[in-house]
Formats: sequence, C-alpha cells, structure tokens
Amino acid sequence: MDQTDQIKGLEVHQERSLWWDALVRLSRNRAAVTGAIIILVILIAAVFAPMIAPKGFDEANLRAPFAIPLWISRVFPNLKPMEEGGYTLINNEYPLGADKLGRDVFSRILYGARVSLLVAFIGPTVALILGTIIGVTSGFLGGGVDNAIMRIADVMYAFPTLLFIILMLVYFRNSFRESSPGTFIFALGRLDASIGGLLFVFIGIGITSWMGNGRLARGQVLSIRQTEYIAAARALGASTPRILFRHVMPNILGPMIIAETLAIPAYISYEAFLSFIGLGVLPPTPSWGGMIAEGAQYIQNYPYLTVFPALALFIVMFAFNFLGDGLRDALDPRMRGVD
Amino acid sequence: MTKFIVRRLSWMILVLLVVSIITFIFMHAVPGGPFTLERPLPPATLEQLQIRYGLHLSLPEQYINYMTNLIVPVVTRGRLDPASRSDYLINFPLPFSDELVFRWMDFGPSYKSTTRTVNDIFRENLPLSAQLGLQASIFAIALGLPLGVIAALRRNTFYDYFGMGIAIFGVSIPVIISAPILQYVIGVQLGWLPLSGWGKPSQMILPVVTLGFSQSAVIARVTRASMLQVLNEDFVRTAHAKGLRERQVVVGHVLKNALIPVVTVIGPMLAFLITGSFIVETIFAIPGMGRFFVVSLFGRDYSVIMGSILLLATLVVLANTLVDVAYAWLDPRIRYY
Amino acid sequence: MHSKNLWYVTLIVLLIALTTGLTQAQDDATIQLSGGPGDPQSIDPQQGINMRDWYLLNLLFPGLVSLDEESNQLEPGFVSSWEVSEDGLTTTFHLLEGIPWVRYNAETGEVEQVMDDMGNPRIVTAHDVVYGFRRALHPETGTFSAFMLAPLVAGGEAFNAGESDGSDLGVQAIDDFTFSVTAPISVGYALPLYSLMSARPSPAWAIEEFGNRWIEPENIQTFGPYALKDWVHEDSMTFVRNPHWPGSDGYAQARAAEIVFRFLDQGVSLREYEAGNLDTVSVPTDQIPRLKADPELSQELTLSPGACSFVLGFHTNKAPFDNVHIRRAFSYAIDRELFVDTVLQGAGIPARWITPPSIYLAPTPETDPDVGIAYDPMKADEELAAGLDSLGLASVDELPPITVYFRDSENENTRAQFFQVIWEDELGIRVELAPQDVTTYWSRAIEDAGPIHFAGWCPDYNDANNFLRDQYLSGGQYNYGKYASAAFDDLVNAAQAESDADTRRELYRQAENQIVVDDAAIVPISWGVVPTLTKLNLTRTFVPSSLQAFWKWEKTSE
Repeated sequence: MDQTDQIKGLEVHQERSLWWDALVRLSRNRAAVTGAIIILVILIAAVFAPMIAPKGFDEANLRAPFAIPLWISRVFPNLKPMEEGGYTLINNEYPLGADKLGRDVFSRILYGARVSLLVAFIGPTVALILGTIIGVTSGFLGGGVDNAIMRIADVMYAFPTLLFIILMLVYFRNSFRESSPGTFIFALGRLDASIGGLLFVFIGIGITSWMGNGRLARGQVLSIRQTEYIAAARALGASTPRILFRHVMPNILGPMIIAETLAIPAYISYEAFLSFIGLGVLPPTPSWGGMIAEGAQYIQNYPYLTVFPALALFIVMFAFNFLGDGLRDALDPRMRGVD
Repeated sequence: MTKFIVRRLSWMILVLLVVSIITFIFMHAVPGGPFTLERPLPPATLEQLQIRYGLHLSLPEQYINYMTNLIVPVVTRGRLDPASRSDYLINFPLPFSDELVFRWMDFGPSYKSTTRTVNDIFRENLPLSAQLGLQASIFAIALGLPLGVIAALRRNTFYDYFGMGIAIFGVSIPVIISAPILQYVIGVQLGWLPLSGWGKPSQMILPVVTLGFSQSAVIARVTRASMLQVLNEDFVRTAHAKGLRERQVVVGHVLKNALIPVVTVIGPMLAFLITGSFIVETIFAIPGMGRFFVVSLFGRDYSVIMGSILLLATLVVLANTLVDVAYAWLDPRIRYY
Repeated sequence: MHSKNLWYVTLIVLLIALTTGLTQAQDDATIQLSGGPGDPQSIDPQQGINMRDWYLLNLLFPGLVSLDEESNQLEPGFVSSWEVSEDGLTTTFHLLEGIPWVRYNAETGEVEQVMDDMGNPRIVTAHDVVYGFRRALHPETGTFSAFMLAPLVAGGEAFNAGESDGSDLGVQAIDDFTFSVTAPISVGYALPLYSLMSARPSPAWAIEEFGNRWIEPENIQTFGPYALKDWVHEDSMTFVRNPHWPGSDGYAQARAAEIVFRFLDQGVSLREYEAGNLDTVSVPTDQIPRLKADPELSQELTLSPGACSFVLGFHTNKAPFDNVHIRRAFSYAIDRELFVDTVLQGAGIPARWITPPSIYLAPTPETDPDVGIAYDPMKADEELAAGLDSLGLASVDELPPITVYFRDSENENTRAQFFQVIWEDELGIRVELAPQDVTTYWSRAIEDAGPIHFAGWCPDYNDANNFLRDQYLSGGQYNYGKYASAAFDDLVNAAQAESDADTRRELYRQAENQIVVDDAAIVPISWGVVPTLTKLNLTRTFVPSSLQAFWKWEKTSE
C-alpha cells in the first residue's frame, strides 16, 4: 500500500471518530477494564467513606493505642499479643488495627483515599494538559516561540518541584495565619484547610511538572513532524490544527499517559515526603502518603501501620498502570489490528 | 552543532540569573532567618551577627553582594592553605608566580556552621552524593532498560507481566519505607551488609539499590512504551521484510529510535540523583549534599539555599542540553533551530 | 535476549555475594555513639548553640565547676577550690596548676602538649579564663548564651549591648592561677552560671591564628579529658583520651581510649544499635513496648529521669484565654497519666508543675504532694461554666475559634492530636491544629504566639530559677504567652536574691502554684524520662541533662 492510500485510509477511519474507536478498543482490553473497575471502586469507597467506614477518621480511643485484631498478630509473627508474652494489645474492633491514638486504620485508609486520589488525579491532569499544550505548540511552531518556551521550561525545570512546594507551603501557611477574615488570603486558607492543607501541593505540582510532559511532547513532535505521513498530510492540504489533532495528538498521548501514570506514585510520594519532613497534610486528616511516612518509623514494632496503606497504594498503582497501558494502546492508531 | 551548544550555554547563564532572583525573593519572603532559634537571641547580638554576614543591608544590596562574590574572579597573593581555600570554590595557583592564586566563585558562608562555607560543602559533600547518584543511575539504567526492552519484545507474555510487575512495585513503594525495610531486614536481621555510612563498597549497595530501583522502574516503563511504538513503525517492518535478523533490527533500528523518550527522562533524573537524595542520605547516614537542600530551607541558611538551588539548576540545564544533543544523534532528522 | 537477562541477574547476585560479610570490625576500646543527624553547629565554646554542641565541647573544655549527677553537689572542674566574698558578689577560683593545652597529632597518633613561640608548653591560666569570659560577652562574638551570663558579671550587660568597651568588666586574673569574677547582684545560682558553655577558657592565640577554622581538628587546642582526633563533616566526630588531663572531682580522667559520635538519625541509630554497631542509644518512646517484651533488649533498656519539661502555654491576652477560668478548665481537663501512657508509652512522669523534680530546688512529688494541678474533670466542668458565665456566653459554641500552633514534627503532631481529642471529649471544644515549620514557628512565637502554644524547656543550668524566672518573668524574652503577674514576679525575684536554699525552695514552691494553679497561665504536662538502650559491656552513668559524663564511661570486652 502506498502512502497516499494509507493517508486516505486514516481519513476514512477518522470520520468514524478516532476517540470512539479508542474507547471501543479500550473496552476489549481486559487488564485495562479491570484497572478501571478497581479505580472506580476505590473512588466510590472514597466518596462514600462516611457510610462505609466502620469509624470516623478522627475517632480516637486513647486507651487502645496500637491495638490490633488477632489475625494481624498471626500474620506478623513478631506482633505477639501481651497475653502470649508479646507486646501488642488485641482488639478485634479494628479490622486492620489501630494507630497511635487508637484510630481505626481501615477507616483512615478509606478516608485517606480522598486526599490521595485527589493528588493522583489533579497533579497528572494539570501536568498533562499544560504539558501537551505547551509542548506541542513549542515543537510544532519551532523557531523563536519554541526557543522562548523551552527557556521558560528550563527556568521552571531548574526549580526542583519539592523545594518549590516547600517554599510555597511555608510561605502560605504563615500568610494564612496572619490573614484576617474576609480577605482573599483568608478564603484561600479555608479552602486549603478543607482539603487538608494540600492546595499548594497541587498548585506546586501544576506549576513545576508540565515541563516533563512539555519536553516529551515536543520531542515527539520534533521526531514525527518530519515523518513521511505528516509531510504527506501537509501535501494533501491538511491545516495545522487538523494535523495536530488527528496526527500528532494520538502519537504523543500514548507516551504521555505512560509518563503520567508513572508520575502518580511520584506525586503521592511527594506527599509522603512532605509528611516525612514535617509539612504534610494537616492533622487529623488522613492521607496514604502521610500514613506511610508516619508508619515508616514504626517498621520495627508496628509494621502493619505502613503495610496496609502501602498495599492500598500498590493496588491503585497497578490499576492506574493497567488502565494507562490500555489507554496508550487504544490511542495508538498503529496498534489497530495488532490486538 | 558547536554553535548550538555555545548558544545553549549562553542561555544557561540567563536561566541561572532568573533562577537566582526567584530563589532569593522567595527565601526572603518566608518568615524567620538563619538566626531564628528556639531561644531567641538578644537584639544586640542579633544585630552584630547580621552586620557580620551583611544581612543588615537592603535585599537588592545583599543580592548584588552575593552575585558579585560569586561571579567576579580575584587574584590574591599568598599561600594556598586550607583556611583560604574555603573562601572560594575554585582556587588554583597561577603558573608564572608561586605567590599569586586565581580564585573564583565564592558561594558564601553557611550560617549553620561556624567553620564551613558553602564552598567547603560543595567540595567535600557533593562528591559523595555524585558517587551515589551516578551509581544509582547506572543501576537504574542497567536494570530498567533491559526490563523495558524485554517486556516490549515479549509483549503480553510472562516476561512482560513480570517485568512490569517489578517496575510498578519499584515505583509505588516510596523510598521512605523501602530504605528502612531494607536496612532492617538485610542489615539488622540478616546482618549481610552494613546499615549506614559511605566509603566501602559494601556500604554502597543498599543506598544504591534503594535509590536506583525506584528510578529503574521509570526507565523500564518508558522504554517499554516507546519500544512498542517504534516496533510498529514502517521502517521496522521494512527491516524485517529485508530479512534482517531480529537482533539487528532491535539494536540497529528499534532501540536507537525508542531511546528518545528514555533519554528525555534520564537527563534530568541524572541531575537530581547527582545532587543527592534527602531521604536516602538521611536514612543511610551518607554525608552528602542531599540533606542540605531540605535542612537549609528549614534553617533559612540563605547561602546554602542559593548555592544548592543554583547547583541543581546548572546541572539540570546542562543535562537538558545534553538531551537535545542526544536527540540529534539518535534521530538525525531533528534539525537544530 | 534470554542469556543477556540471565547475565544481569548473575552480576547482581555476584555483587551481593562479594560484599556479604564485610561488616565493620569493632574496636573494644572505642565507644560508638550516635550524635543526631548532621554536623553540630560549632564546638567553639563561645559559638555553640544547642545541647549537642554543648555536650561535645564539654569533653574538650571543662567548666570551672560541675554538678555531680548523684549528689547534686557542685564539684571542682579545672579548679582546686573557690570562695565567695562576704557580700556574695565576688567569687574567686584557684585553678589547678599545670594543666597543659593539648592537640592531637595525626602523624604520631598521640595527644601532645602545645608549645608557645618560645618552645615552652602552654598552660591553662586565669588569663585564658578571662579571655573566654570577655569573648563570650563581646557583642561581635554573637554568643547565644551571653544574655544569661551578662547580668552576673559587673559591667557585662553594657559590654554585651555594645555600650561600653569592657574595660570595667568584672573579670580578673589576680595571678596566673587565680581568677575572680564580680557580679552586680548576689544570686543563689551564680556558680552553675559561671560554668556555662560560653564561660570556658579558650586559646586566644589559636583563635587569632586560624579564625573561624580554629575548631577544625588540625587547628584546635583543648585541655579537657578528651581531645578532638577527627571530624568528618556531616558524618562523625572522634574523640581521643587526653593523657595530660590531671583529672578533678568534676571531670575525672577519661577511661575509654576513644569515643566516636556518628551523626545518625534516630531511627537509624536504633537499627545500628540492634545490629551491634553502637554501644548506647536513646530510643523513640513508641519502641518501648517492643523493647520491654524482647528478652534480650529488655535487659539493656533503662528509663532514666530527664531534665526537660513539656508544658502548654496560653496567650494570656488573647480571647478566650484572657479568662482565668477558661484557662483552668483547659488545664484540669487534661489527663496527664493517660498522656504519659498513650503518647509517651510510659517514658515520662505526669507533671503537676513546671520544673522537673530532678532540678535543684524544684518541688518533688514526695515532699510536696499538694503543689500543682492535676486532671480533674469535675473542676474542669465547674471552671468552664464559671468562665462562660463571666464571659456572658451561653455555650462553648459561642467561644471564638481556637487554633493550636505547633512545630510540625511527628512527636508534636501526635501530641497536638491527643489534646484535640481530650478537649473535645472533656469540654466539648474542638480546637483547630496548625502545624508550622520550625523556623516559622519560632520567628512567630516571639511577636505573636498562638492562643495555645507548645513549650518544652531543657535547662541551661541546674536551678529552678532557669525554669521559672528565666522563662516567665513579666516581659521576659521567652515569655511567649505575655504572662504578667506581680505576685509571681515578686516570688521569683525574692528567690533569686535569696541565698538560703530552703527559703528559695519554698519560694519556688509558691511560684509554681501561682503560675499553674492560681493564674493557670501554663499547663504542665509531663517531665522527661529518657529511654536508653545500653550494651551490657558498657559501664555508663546517666545524667538527667544531655551533658553526659562520658569520661566515666568504660567498655569491657566480654
């Protein structure tokens, strides 16, 4: 088949909507569907946490710190109950044990999914959208615009995301304290408090994470811009936006979705890192990253405090990755017929 | 090509200037200063300290002083002893006189140490972080690249699922927990390796593996994805059709083209790894540079904040320049603008 | 590709196998300790700032006197005796004669005496002590503890504020081995203050020659039980026994040949200890149950009294804590026993007043069962009702929102959440929690501490004065809650001027009652207990503060 035929073939397919096609192909991918279902279930669990969770996330029992149900003491051999010469308090009210203030770990994981899924969705979405727009524009237009954008990216790149977030958190948490009711900063402070003090983690990720995608998108544009079929499409008189949307986007979305599904744990570990250095989510709001960072100091004596939130994170990560792979395959026009 | 690199490097100076201004403004905007202590200093003492370090001047004056010390090279007369060495990062005796010393780049004193300057920190602590970072990068590439390639070639087989399982595992376990777990299990319970410190090869294994593993996962995933994309390109089919052997196709055609996104990821990763990781260095007690990034921010150790961010910025810009050069090598169709 | 894959696996396995078993060999004569993460700020006596700086430099530069941890008696440091003048203002010290200044010679591996330009050994003289005092008080030095020392040296405050040239400073070398210091006022705790870390003899010639770098191992000159052998920045510090130190009651001759402080994070320290690479280590409180249940580690666990206290402070000018009833209600509502059991896992003593009983002249639970405040839910409710009444409020919902500010660390986070739960349960009041980074917290604390703030205090010298007058005198610089009580001021001022120990003890007892019960400006929570693991072959002592008498420690081979 010669090139003109191929281009024509593509055009015909796209009349049927490229995106609908992708969805159909996605639904045929069993792993991706499983991933999507897992994410959906966790999303529902997070939204309806007050109804599902056996206890409130801040419901403490100060007389049962580090209490565990019997089954945990059987799974972790070093967590023997006190009655058997160990050091743990047995209380079967807690399906996954209790933390230092006697709060239910299971309930906290459910509530913590809210914050962690927010981080997992908002960070990549912002980075993806900003990155695509800027990267594609830069790569496609080239010349001065490309140069200018890439220099801005260099400046932003040169700022380590985490240091930037730390500076912002320190600055704004102090500003909130000084603000008086009715001002914009005060309102921002209330908004920040309502999402556990993570507003500036989102903003920080947004501002500092588009460059990776931007460069990736630009790199891809630079490399496919010169490929024969784009040249052919141009020769056939396709306009720039059309080329962008029909030919460039499907090519770069795949790698970018991979990059972003990969970045999700990075964002969640930012949050864990911030908790580790003492700038995490505001207590008593739970988050997976915070629970993992906090549990890390109990690895020798109460390992379940880290293991369960880490397991939750692991499952979500698998789900996101399966879904990401599926999306990538579904969006790649050349994968058609390969499945 | 040379022209391109020269142009990029001159851009770098502008980028660093912007970075230094933003950092300077931001770090002075947050409350407290290097002498804010749990027990506040009496006003007279505080004033003396601020005069000693020039912190009593207006912010623009402070910035200009800092940049002048950093940029302007000097030639001094006298012996090059350890004490005077710590005043500048670069000191070398001029060849035509044994009295004259060329000195350049003074990053200023550390406010949190009475004996050390930021120059000392760069000279003594940065190399350890760089060692760790380079080893971790090599480990990450050596593990991640083959994992990704195999997973792509054996798509939807056991190799693919197993490799990607490892990758997802590596990327979703934060270093905050993998480091203490490795330390406890391998160091304490099994007693195979020393837990902390840096210097002997045996001390390097745990931190290198911890740091490298999480990065190898990223490389593996990106490699697999971009391999899959390239494998379906026409020229690969053509190569197969020409009767080239699988190995020749993979190495000669696929891998080279698939490396573009991988290189994009590796470049900045290298810059970050070389400057050190706060968590890995804290948990494995490695006297590297990584700790300073966080500790200096919390301690408002202004010159260390400036120095470390400028250092990282320089490395990132250099890495990105290298990435662009690598693009051209990997894909000759990319033209320099 | 299969063979390549295998090759990688083999390489990694080989690498691990090669390095297996290469763990460090331990030297019996060397005591291995953890010194917290990162470099100390300084081991210059006049530049040191935190406890770690102090206990390190205490090995190198002994004080004039020192306090024995068991008898609570003052013992001579590098002096043979001292006397106080009739008016109680002038103290004269007679130095031990012939203590040499020493340095570690890396080439010979020996600690050697320092020679002056004439080739004679340098000896610690009264002039070195005078130099140390003057340097500490000189405003340009920027000595952090100068403000404590200055009021007890005639002309000290003016000199330290840069208002005089110091020619009239009340320190004097009467002869080479007699040093006297004159105070403008007579106080009962002058001697421990004259032994502050900043008031230590310092080698003027070395400081002049090497500038800031005089404390580097190749430059430093010291005279105490240990000399500095090595300092790998950010990694470790090694001290070696100084054979030239004659020994005194306060600072005995060193027993262990070497002490290594590795700069380790607390979690790592514990793991290093369990791996057998550290000889003693303080442990996080949450580890206590596990350690107690462990047949071996439980033998090595010690809970020794500490010197620090943990309290909460109210901002006494801020609603609603400008109301004494509300303050009392919040204080009575806290179950200190539960706090110690839950949050501290037993590593603490429920506090009824501020000064820990281990501090000189503090009340003790045995002698003073009636002093202080304790958990009492009935009184909490009564006081809350009285408080709402006097504010003209119908219920707690009408109280202004209360925010608790604290330094964001794992410990303080747990504590803050504990109090949040307690106050909600006992009083029905939900406080908001606002963690802040440590520097922001302290920089804000001075101008505008929150309505409730956390305040820990570890002593600078061993006297109840340090906990009460130094912190809470009206207008004091650590008085973050702007507590101002004439009754309290009178009591602590009278105690400061008094020389009779029993009278002073009684005055402090009354002052404690005034501040924690009558005015309820401070909520005492707990007194420190330090959980420590010590290998069975290490003989050590336990000093309540972190200024350990390391020279008494000894490691025996098993």
